[in-house]
Amino acid sequence: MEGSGEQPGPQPQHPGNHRIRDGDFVVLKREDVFKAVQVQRRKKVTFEKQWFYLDNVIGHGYGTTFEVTSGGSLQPKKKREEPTAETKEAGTDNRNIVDDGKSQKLTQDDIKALKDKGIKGEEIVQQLIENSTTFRDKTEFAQDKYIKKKKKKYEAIITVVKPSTRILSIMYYAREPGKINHMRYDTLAQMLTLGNIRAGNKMIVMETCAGLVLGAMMERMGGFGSIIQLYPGGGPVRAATACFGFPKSFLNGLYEFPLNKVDSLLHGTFSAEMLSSEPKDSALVEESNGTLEEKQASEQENEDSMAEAPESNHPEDQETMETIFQDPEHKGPKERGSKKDYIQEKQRRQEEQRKRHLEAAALLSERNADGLIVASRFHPTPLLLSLLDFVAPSRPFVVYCQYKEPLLECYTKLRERGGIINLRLSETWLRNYQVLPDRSHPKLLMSGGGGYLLSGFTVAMDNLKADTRLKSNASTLESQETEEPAAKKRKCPESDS
Amino acid sequence: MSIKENHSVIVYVDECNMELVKLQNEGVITNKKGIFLHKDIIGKEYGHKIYDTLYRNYIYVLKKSPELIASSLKRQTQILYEHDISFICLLANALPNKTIIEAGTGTGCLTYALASSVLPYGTIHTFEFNQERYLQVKKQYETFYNIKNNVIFYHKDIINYDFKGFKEGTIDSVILDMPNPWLCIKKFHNLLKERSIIVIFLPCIEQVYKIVDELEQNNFCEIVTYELINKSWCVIQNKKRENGKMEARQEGAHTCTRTLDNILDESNICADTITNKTIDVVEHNSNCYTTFSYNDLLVPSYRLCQKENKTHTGYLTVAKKQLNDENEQMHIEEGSWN
Repeated sequence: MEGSGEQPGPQPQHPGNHRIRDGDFVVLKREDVFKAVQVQRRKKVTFEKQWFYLDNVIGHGYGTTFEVTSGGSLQPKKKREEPTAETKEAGTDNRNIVDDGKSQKLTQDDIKALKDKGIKGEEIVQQLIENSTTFRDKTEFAQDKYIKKKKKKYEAIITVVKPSTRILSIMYYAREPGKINHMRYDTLAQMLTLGNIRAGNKMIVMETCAGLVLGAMMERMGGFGSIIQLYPGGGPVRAATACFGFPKSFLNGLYEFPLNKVDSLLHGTFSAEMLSSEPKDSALVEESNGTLEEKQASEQENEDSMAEAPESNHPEDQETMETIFQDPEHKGPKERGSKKDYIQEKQRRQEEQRKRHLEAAALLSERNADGLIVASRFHPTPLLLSLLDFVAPSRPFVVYCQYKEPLLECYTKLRERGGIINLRLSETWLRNYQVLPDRSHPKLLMSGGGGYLLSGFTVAMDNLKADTRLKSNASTLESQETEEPAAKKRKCPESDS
Repeated sequence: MSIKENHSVIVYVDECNMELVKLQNEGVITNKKGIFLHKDIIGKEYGHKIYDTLYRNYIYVLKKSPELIASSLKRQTQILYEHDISFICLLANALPNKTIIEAGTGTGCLTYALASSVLPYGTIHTFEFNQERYLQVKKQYETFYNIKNNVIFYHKDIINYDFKGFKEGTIDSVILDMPNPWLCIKKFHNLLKERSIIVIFLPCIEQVYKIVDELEQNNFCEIVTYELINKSWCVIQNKKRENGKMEARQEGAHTCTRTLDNILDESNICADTITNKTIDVVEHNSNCYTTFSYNDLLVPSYRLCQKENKTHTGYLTVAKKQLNDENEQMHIEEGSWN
């Protein structure tokens, strides 16, 4: 991703790991927990009940592991040596083990004393093992599990990884699923491929997933092509998009346009004056999770009723993003300088925004977009019915919805509208596995909670009057598909993959 | 952008019938809808109807996309289904200008999706040891003008291939869909960049055990195994009655204030057979005639039913190549904070 947008060319990527710099976006990883942060010197970061500074991360490559030491500094940690395979004393089963909470001889205070002395996590775990009366009676597997659990608690190993769609979508699904309408990462993967998102396309997207879907699309397109994001309210929320750390050049192809002007654009009544001369600053909008009521309102009503909700009170929300950027051009308050400068700056930005909106309107009016992606908490039907007009024929579109029923309604309305084929309503279930010798089993089955997708292709709209030559008993495509498929007769080869 | 000769297009008959066709001047397509001439397609725009020679039926001609390709390529080997293909593209970080090695070209569906993702300058090196399949896919790709420069086909067995032309640490991802991937893990470890990804698709759990073992012993980390199952629904239209009204006769004068549901229950009217209009209650003498029909939302015109789904396709194991040790010891140049 780095380098590919800025210097397109057939030269191979520079080999070797990219070194982390001040200001880069990274993701902290501890076991399966992620957190996206921006590297800034002397800035305190909290992660997994620990606080530290990221200064020592600068200069290292992605993938380096660190340990949190006293004083909040991060020290690079060498890869742990595999413990020598001494035959550990172990029991055969747990019939004699009594769980009375008294098997650990070290008290809380003892452990605290050890920690304060600065003893490394490994040592603490070793002490715990030696002072446990039941450890030797546990089975080998139980011992492994015990050690793993203690290590997790006392050894603070943090890996710094490079942000990517995969990591960020896993992070958001685990930490703040409400922000992304509970879209699971495999559903996002389906959207990217079903929508044929690739370099050079002109895509239209309408999403209220904190910018995650937008970021995934931008990553897939690598800065080539263009994306027009339609947004409700005052401005697009791009908290997640900032986490990717895209180079500035990627923004050249990114446009935004307000949803409430779409109707006028479609009817040809749009004009430059419609963009108010004082649009609200694209302030960060921390929107509350969508509720079912919102879904039934029409698109216009939604735009009005959705107040710029105050930042949610949920403390964890603050934790996910240390610095919230919705627009990398946005300068921090420190750099504002005098009030006069500030006003000038604000006017300049507003003028630029207006210009961008006009460019977006021009792009949309060509009505030749290569695809449409919708992933929001609003009811998809009114959105689709208007936005599909901007898409060229024979192009894919994908609609994500947390619930199935709105998509069903959408399906029926699309059928009535016409100009759509290959409509598919689908869902994916994801299961992960623990694979260990003699201990392999599935871990978790994630189903239903990942959202649903409605996808299809656009075709040229029917102009039935022109088809007078069509014979009267023609079996048209539409009526065929609405016939109830007899269970045995119509053999669709599997789930149409 | 009109369709040209020698291009390949997707001929869409219906959801279950799609075909990838290379257009030639004198070509003819025959399917259940009739006979279609290639000549009628060349010069038209994508997404339009194409009528058959008798002007009775039509089909649509569509632009290629990973989903349509996966649905239309003839299946000779067990192919990766489209939900797996999408997930692999996400896991493997298939992004513009990347270099990816794929083993087991098979029918080329995954190759197509990957090649689309690495545009404009990326490359997919794809290996196939079966000559017939290799030639068939290679031939097909000759008409895929926008991605054919991004794919290099190899008719080689990847297990024995020496990768002489490849420099170490230059490959961005490796994707394996082959019977014995554990035999070449070591080789790929050298080729991959640090922190790059390897994705392996295996149908059986015993194979997964072997591969996880092999990955752990060859300095791969963050090994995760997934299984992805696709579930899709069929949307069926409810039958509608031809004439607009339904009558239900009720005895007694005070029945008109009852709710619609009560009336329905007592008249034993099946919701399916009610048509769409607004509710109208008419009183007539001491009997209560109710003529009613429904609003769209009250009685849906469509219902869902599950499509037959293949459940298990395979397990996807993903792993990252660990950092080489020396990087972890790197001396920090820009001041440290203590």
